[in-house]
Amino acid sequence: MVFDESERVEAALAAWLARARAGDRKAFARLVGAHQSRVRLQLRRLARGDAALADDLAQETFVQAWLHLHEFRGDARLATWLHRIALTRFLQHARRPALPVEWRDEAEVDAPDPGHDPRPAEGMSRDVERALQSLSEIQRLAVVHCFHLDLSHAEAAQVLGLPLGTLKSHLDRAKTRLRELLQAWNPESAS
Amino acid sequence: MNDPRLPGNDAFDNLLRGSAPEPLRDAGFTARTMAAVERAARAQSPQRRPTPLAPLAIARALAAEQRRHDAQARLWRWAIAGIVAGWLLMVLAVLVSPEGSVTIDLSTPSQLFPLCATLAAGAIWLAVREWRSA
Repeated sequence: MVFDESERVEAALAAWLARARAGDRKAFARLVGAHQSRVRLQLRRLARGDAALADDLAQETFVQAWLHLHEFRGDARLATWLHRIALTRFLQHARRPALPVEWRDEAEVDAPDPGHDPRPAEGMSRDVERALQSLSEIQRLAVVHCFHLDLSHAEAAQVLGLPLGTLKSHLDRAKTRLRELLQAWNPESAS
Repeated sequence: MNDPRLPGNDAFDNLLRGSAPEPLRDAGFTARTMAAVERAARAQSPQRRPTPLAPLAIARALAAEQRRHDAQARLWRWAIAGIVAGWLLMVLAVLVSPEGSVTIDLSTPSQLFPLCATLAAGAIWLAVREWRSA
């Protein structure tokens, strides 16, 4: 039987997960290593770039995951479960008066310069980032979870605690807005 | 990559996926996290472990349960004995009455209605009590 790289990785993750659930901390450390980047990136996005806060919350996320690993039934991917814990940790933190979170419905638009040269990849990432800032919080989170964290619609909806239809609706509105703001980079509009 | 789990697959979606930030290097994060996991596990373990029941406590609980069971069985036995004794008394009264002066007359089924209603109410009351105590 031939396995490709992603299947090998999935099989290794499943084996580590099984060992971690049996109490093997070295296996759990492997899982932390495999998922740390995604969880930290998610939390950096939620914390609006505050890397120190994001890493603290990511650490708490993995501690919570270890303590409650026996509750993970395997209905969803481990990554989805971890992202959900991370979001919950962030929201618990953000509810403190010092860091209120406004899940805005509307936002000021700060469009990228339409006249720039859309060739360097760094420029594209920067423009996408700037365009993302023009979205509402929930739209931005929908885009980040679906496209940057590679979650399916259903997984992103589960992580964000939204009905699937609501998630899709936010995503559609976000993509419509992003298409307008990123016309210069959009391969569909070029054809 | 053509992952069916991923939402959409058009060029603009790929552009958005392509703009994802670079993966973060571990830079000691896993080691720090596992140290925190060790601390949390140590702090948590005495609380999570359920207090084992002493054999004496188990014996007391079992004895109490046995007493409750015995009391319930006694109640049922006395209830049935009461019904049987009532019937026997009634039949005896008929048999020993001089010249048939005592009779049991169940001429129409409608006469049984109050008795049936009382028995049904009692049965429901007992069933509800059993269900609530379960």
